[in-house]
Amino acid sequence: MSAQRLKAPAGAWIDRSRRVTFTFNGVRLTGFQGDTLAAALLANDVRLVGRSFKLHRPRGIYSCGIEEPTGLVDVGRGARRTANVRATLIPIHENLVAQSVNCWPSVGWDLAALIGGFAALLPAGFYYKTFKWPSWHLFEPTIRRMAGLGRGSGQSDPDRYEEVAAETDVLIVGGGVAGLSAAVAAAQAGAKTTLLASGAIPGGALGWRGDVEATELLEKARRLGVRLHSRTMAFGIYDHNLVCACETIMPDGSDAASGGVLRERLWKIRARAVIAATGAFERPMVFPDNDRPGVMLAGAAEKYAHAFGVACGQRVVIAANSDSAYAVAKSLRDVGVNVLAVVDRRPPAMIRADSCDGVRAIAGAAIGSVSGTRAVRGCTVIPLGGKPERLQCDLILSAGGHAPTVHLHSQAGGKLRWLDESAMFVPDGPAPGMASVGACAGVFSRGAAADHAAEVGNALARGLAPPPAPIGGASDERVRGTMGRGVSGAGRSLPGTHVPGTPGKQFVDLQNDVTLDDVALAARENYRSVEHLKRYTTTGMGTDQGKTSNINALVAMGECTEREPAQVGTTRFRPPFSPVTLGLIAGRRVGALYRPRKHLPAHAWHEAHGAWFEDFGDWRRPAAYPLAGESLEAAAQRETAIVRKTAGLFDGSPLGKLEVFGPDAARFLDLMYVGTMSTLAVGQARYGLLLNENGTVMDDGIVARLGEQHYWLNTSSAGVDRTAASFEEWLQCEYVDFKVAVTPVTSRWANVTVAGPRAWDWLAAAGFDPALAPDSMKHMTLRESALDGVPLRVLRASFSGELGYEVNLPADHASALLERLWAYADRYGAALYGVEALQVMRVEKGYIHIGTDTDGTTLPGDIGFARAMDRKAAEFVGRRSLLRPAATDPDRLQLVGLTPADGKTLLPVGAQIAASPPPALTEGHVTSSYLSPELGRPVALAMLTRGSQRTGERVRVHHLGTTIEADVVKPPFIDPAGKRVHG
Amino acid sequence: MADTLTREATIEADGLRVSVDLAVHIASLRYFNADGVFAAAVRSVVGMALPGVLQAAMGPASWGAGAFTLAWRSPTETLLLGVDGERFSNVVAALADAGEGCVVDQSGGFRVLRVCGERVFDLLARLGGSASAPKIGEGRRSRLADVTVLALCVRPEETLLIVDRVYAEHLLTWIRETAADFATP
Repeated sequence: MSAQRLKAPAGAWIDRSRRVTFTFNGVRLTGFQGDTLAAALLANDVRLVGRSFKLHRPRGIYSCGIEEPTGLVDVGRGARRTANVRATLIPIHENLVAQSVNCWPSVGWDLAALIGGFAALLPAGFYYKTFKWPSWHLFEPTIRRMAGLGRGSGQSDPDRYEEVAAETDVLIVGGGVAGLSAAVAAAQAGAKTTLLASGAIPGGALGWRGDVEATELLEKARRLGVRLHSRTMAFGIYDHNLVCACETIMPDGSDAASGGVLRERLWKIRARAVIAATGAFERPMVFPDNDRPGVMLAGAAEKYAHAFGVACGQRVVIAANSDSAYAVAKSLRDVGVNVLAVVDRRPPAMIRADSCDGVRAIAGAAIGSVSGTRAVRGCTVIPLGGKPERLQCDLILSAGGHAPTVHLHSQAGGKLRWLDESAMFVPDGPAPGMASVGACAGVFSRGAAADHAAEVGNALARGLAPPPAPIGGASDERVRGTMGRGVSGAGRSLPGTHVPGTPGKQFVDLQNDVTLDDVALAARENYRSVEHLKRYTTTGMGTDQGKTSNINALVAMGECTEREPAQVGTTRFRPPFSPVTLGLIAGRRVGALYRPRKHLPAHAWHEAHGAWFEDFGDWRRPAAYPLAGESLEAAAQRETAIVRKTAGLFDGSPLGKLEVFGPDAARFLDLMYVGTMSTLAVGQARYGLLLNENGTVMDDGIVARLGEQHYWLNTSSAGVDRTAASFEEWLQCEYVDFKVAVTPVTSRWANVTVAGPRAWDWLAAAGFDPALAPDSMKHMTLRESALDGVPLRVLRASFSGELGYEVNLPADHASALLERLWAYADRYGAALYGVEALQVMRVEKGYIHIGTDTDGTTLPGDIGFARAMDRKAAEFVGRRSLLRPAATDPDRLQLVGLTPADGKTLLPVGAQIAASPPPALTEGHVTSSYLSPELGRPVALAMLTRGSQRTGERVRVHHLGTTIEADVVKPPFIDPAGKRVHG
Repeated sequence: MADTLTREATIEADGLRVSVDLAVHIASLRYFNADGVFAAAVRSVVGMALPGVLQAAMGPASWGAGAFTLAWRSPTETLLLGVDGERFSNVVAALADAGEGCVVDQSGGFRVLRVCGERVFDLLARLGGSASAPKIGEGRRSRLADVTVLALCVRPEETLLIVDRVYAEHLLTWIRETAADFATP
């Protein structure tokens, strides 16, 4: 046994009185309350945790936090299974189930590990080169199957996620000493202050030390009213200082009630100023086989020892180029761990004599090889110019200095600059609306960090510019042995420690299996840009996004191309800082709340009368009212036939409705519509087309005049919002002197339509005013009426081609009117009809449906409105655009009718019209197609090149390998004289 | 005729009560000048001046019989809310000929959700916007639960959510699910 549990007092965060049982790869193990899964696995001497992405090499726990590149596991069971969770972040709990990823049949015996034997054939970008012949698609399925790490549940997530919006003056991201100092100062300055800490226990990276100063700051912050959110990770900063953060309420893998629990909370915090206090990540050293289980970050091993009471090994070698290695060595020795040596890459002159403190330092040396495949058994130390030395060790720690966590700063648009003396990128001044403090600003001296953070907190709370960061801290004696440990004096990491003739891959990116050789290959193949380097080698991708690999990769690229790291640069950090669940992003927007859907005022009435609801745009509408055993199509056919024969009842409430009022209303509508609306007498109605400024058809509908200055407009159901917005835009931006008010009233007025030869008889029987009879109320007129005191606006119009009454009434009364009319339905053999039947009827009549028969290129002339435009002398929106050559091109698509030559084959909507099967130059396409119950054959509308001149021509319609011949006809298909609408 | 299928809904949770107030009549007051003839008519007929930007004005016996509430909605629109149908009709009729503006009856086109309790703010924050939480006498129009809602604070711990009728079911469902999680810290 190498890793084991240490005796108290080591283990500040665990409760040794509470044992917890969990399962890893089917084996039951125990840990203590407070352990993370990674800590508990190490305490149980589980070294082999997973397999690497590409080469399936054995991997273990590498870090102790969010930067973990290799310790990924799937946790939970069934629908609660979550893939690729970092073992370093999962608190263990009773009955936790976790499983290794990317291995089969087991992590110990992984078949795909055979790939490692061909590793030489699999360099960076190999699949770009290898799988091109004979066809990429031949290999694609296999490669896709092999790609990825963990496995999702494949089931609906039973848990819930919510979203909370908040505002604050100053938001601090990070709960360490710097963050707490900034929060206290901001709150003292009177600012509404919020602090986000990703850990359960504030105090930052060294919170396990039980720091008195941090504890005092925390108490002070609480007293000052700072809003503290623990277990809340800020993962992105967006425009105008919107910070998004994930609060973990129920950790991954938790067993919960079958009904689901609130698992995570998405905080969307708008802050006047943001202070990043996100610390720094330790940089790994690069040496051969530096990915073996038993190689890990030095700071992580220290934290496991002190916070969790776990010795990750018994015989420790530290590979270093930083003073921090010696502090870790001392810290480990203090809890009884045997540190054999610090193998320091730096020359003896750079190593401070007092830092060694009894630890054997091998200066100017590097690790040349690591023995052991599934666990470290030893290593060879190669002093530069000296004789190799073999060390029997079971743990190799990596102390390559620190890299400030500049992600938020970069996301906010801040620039970075390279500090050669410390080998790190730091913020180059504050980003817009935010500042960085503490280690993430390059300030590693604890005292300086706290002071600077307080100054920044105070300044931002008062709306002042933040002071510059006192970058550095290595020589600050005040902090030695606490936080500083001289990491900023780390010196450049020298990744090229490979000794010729020494086997072993030197990994830069452990998660993506990217080695120094891969970086060198990218450089040779001229992928020199850091952006190209990332895409070509995949370094910095994956779930860790290069938190431990970025700096080493770009330093390596710099050395390969004889450039300084500053010249190589970094990729732009983008959200999320760390992976977040899809559930968190979706929040409540699942199931019925997936998107807002509009419900009819009489939705329940239709439900009770057997409606088959479907989505039409945002609306849930009855598509039809099928009888028992009847299909939707059959129902639509039956309903159509009944309307044509007697009468039908339809809920047209979604029809867009606007009231336009004002002394300039008539003039304004003349400008908006192709038709002239100012000449309408009160009570008259007229069909009109709406164009946008490009002359393309935007919407259509009926305009009726209610008074001298008052109009009632119908638009398409989907078009009312854009029409209202367009009208407002014209009024606010162009016709600013017009006195016109446009008020949407779609929801105020329901629309109950009665159509068919017996429509009026039906209405009369239900008690409607005789003045509405067809002989006294003409087609395309509107009357204001009432029924039992309920105001009605009755429009004689028809989208079915039959005698039609559109009864508009206050929405609260829609169900009652439907019920009242329905009581008389049997008298006329009438039926309810849905949207499908309406579509059949409007196609039979050749009426266009905006968005179905038209698209973003359709001009009025294309759909038969050329003469209407010619008749209108006045200007209207879009007219000038219709003078462009493209608008008068004789080859434009034009609306036609089509009937199949065989009289029975339904022409598929979207099918292309062309002389020969595709690929061929298309002549148009089918836009609407239905079986006409009245004609007993299919009818269709289509857009066809020069369509208006091709009546009688036979064309070929192609669809999924079949060709259907069809004849071009001039719509409408029924009642060409339009007599039926007059009753 | 009355809508026999209109459903009332009440949602209760710790520190929160949400109910649908079906008795409220609503009209859009549209005008071309917020200081003009129409505004004067409103002051005369309703007894209150048109409220300023993002403001609301309530009658002295707010939500008592005969009292009105005015809520700013845009630079050319203010909503008039009242529970007394007869008085509401009288006001609408009186303003119809005021000139320089018009009244559009929107009753039934909007649903009014009355949200009461100490956790009103918590609810609004979970519907999508802390900026949407109005102070007393304020009316804020914003995106809540992915739909447009006018939030109007009439008194401490009481806010009205005025939502397009067609989205009322969606908003209620969101509130119901949110309230169910109120017990989770």
